[in-house]
Amino acid sequence: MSARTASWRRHILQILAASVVAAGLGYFSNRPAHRHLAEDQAVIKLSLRHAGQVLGECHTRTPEELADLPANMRAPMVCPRERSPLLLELRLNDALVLSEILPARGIHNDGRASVYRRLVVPVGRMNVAVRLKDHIESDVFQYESSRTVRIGPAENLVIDFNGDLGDFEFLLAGSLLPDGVPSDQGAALEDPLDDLEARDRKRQDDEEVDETPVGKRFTAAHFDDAHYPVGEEVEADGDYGEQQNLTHGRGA
Amino acid sequence: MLNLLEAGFRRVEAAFNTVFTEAWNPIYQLGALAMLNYWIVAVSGIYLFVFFDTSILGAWSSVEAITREQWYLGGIMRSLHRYASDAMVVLVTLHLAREFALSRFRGPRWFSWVSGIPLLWLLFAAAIGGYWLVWDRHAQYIAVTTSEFIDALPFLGDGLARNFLSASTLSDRFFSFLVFLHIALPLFLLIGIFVHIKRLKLARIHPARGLIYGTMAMLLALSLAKPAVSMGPADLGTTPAVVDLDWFYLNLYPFMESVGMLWVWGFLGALTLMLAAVPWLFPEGREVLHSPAVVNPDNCNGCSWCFQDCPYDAITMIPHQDKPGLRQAMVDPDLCTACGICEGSCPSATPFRRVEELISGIEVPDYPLDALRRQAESAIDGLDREGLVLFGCDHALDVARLQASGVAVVSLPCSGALPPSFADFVARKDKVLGVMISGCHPADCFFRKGSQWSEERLSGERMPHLRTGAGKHKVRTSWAGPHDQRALESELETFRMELSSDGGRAEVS
Repeated sequence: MSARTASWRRHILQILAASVVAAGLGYFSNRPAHRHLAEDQAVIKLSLRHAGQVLGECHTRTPEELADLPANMRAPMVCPRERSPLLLELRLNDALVLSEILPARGIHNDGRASVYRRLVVPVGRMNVAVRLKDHIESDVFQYESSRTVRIGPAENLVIDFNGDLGDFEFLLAGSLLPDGVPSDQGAALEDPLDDLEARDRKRQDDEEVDETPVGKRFTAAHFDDAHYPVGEEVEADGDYGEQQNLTHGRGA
Repeated sequence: MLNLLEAGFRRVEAAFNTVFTEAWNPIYQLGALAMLNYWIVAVSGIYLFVFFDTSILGAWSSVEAITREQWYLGGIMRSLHRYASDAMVVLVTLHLAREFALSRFRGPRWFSWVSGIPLLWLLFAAAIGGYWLVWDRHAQYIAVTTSEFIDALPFLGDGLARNFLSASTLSDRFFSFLVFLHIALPLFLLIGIFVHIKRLKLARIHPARGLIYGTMAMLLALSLAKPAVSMGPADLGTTPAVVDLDWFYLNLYPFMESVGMLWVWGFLGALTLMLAAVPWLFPEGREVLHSPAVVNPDNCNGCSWCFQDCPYDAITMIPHQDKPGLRQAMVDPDLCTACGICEGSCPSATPFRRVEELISGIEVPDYPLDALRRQAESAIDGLDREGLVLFGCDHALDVARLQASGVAVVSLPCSGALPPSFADFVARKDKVLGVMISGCHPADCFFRKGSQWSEERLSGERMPHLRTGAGKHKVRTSWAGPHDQRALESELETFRMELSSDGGRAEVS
């Protein structure tokens, strides 16, 4: 083989090698696609940032206590800083899916407690009830709120505690799309229930849904009132809708 | 494990040598190629930033405009930005794997190894942060998942992911912060790279010119054939169900969902610690000499050749301790790899000196010059007939396997550790037809510069030159990797035949 032929052969092999590398770069830069949610799944995001009640009572210092303190620290009244942990509960169709004690932040436990949880749930209509106790030893929940919502595939239901209003805000499909973007998602967001109503009706017609045993596995159909009436007692155990698939994000 | 990995790399290198030649072999220049891609990313990024709208509502639209309305430049720049980033992570991973496989992390090299680990984090952080800016569905998925991932750390709270609850909780200011990060992190990466190569003299940061052109052509062709495009605009009211993931950077994201964030943190933490501990986890191999070079002031004339040749900046020149007005070398033992290249550069390291014990101005205690002379003499004595003496580096081909009738072998820690005067010393012997010096290919020298310096010394481009009364044609180099035994045998045979021919003999005699 002449040197010239060898050189050409080498160049062709170089181009082939570069093509293989380029093909690999091109392909894996956005393929294969990753399915993040199943077609019949939606998301509930529960978020909160709130300070619990102060633990303990203020008390007046005795003259002896005051005398023990440096002169610049003799405040007659002393108040504890530590705040109570919060107790947050979320129920879907009366089934308890999240119950969490949220400690106050800070070295002295005097900061606000916060939480962010993302739950993957089956699509459909459901009653969502959330309540918050801001003193762990209290007998009652100070804040409670519930809504019946219908969540469509891949939609986000955001439940955020608004400290100023002292209530939970429910936000479904709150969207802000760039100007001039033709998006069928945008159109859907204007009335997200329409398509889902039709879809649910079709599913009721098509599917023969088994009787839902209490505390057992759930499917999307179980979140429909027709098959799983709101208010029915549900055993809040790990079987709820395949718990491992229900919760993602922190603490999953 | 190291042996298997090394064998794997050597085979691939051999195949690439056939296709690309040694000088253009990309496997030999992984770090430099990663650097080239860094600059491509930087230049294309600056261009994109000019047209980028730093706001939630404007980001996606501006990237779309760059991609579609000026596809001929902006679109190509965007694709180059994407693909060069992807290429960079591949190159960096291979670079790390190869340095590990070839045991280039021990001794004073620990610094380069360990300082490279934060660069991996910076590279991923910079690249993943860049994806947020496009603010499409892909970006939304990455932003939310990354935020949840960061929030999973118990000491950081739940603050970051709350930014992405809904459109109303996300502000332009946060977006500006992301842009700032996407500029700052690559700059930190650049500073980190500077530290990474700080201890290397003449670090190779530019690949061979042919590879530069080839890489550019490949990325350009890929950008034209498959331009990088966005998914639909981000919509915090919904969750992207299917995402076109960049698997080069986001391969752990599906695991974050399936096994949990803290497990992935645990995995990354353990991997980082394990990588950082590599220099101390793996025992030293046979090839590493322990004792750093020492200076013998009596024989050091302050020429500074060793200072110029040390590939690890381990030598500095200081005022001579005994000779006023002169300088002498000083070795930093923490930086010295005991390669012996300084010994090869020392003008006093000549076997012709009439002293009882041969000591050069600087030498490696585990491989003193006197021992080298004895080895050379013993090799010559061992020649059963007129033949060749082969000086070979321990890190390339195992030259002991080439010991044969008419071929005597002397093993060296590095080909650069052989003073040229030794080649002359041996070549003058009656039984010696010629001297062959072998070692790693100059583009892939275990001690970075040994083969290159050796080549330049023999060709008269670098001090000390080869001066020989025997004839320079009697000294030849042949750079041979671990799998090139046949090639080296063939070169030895060719060399012998040339020297044995009448012309050669006439010149020798």
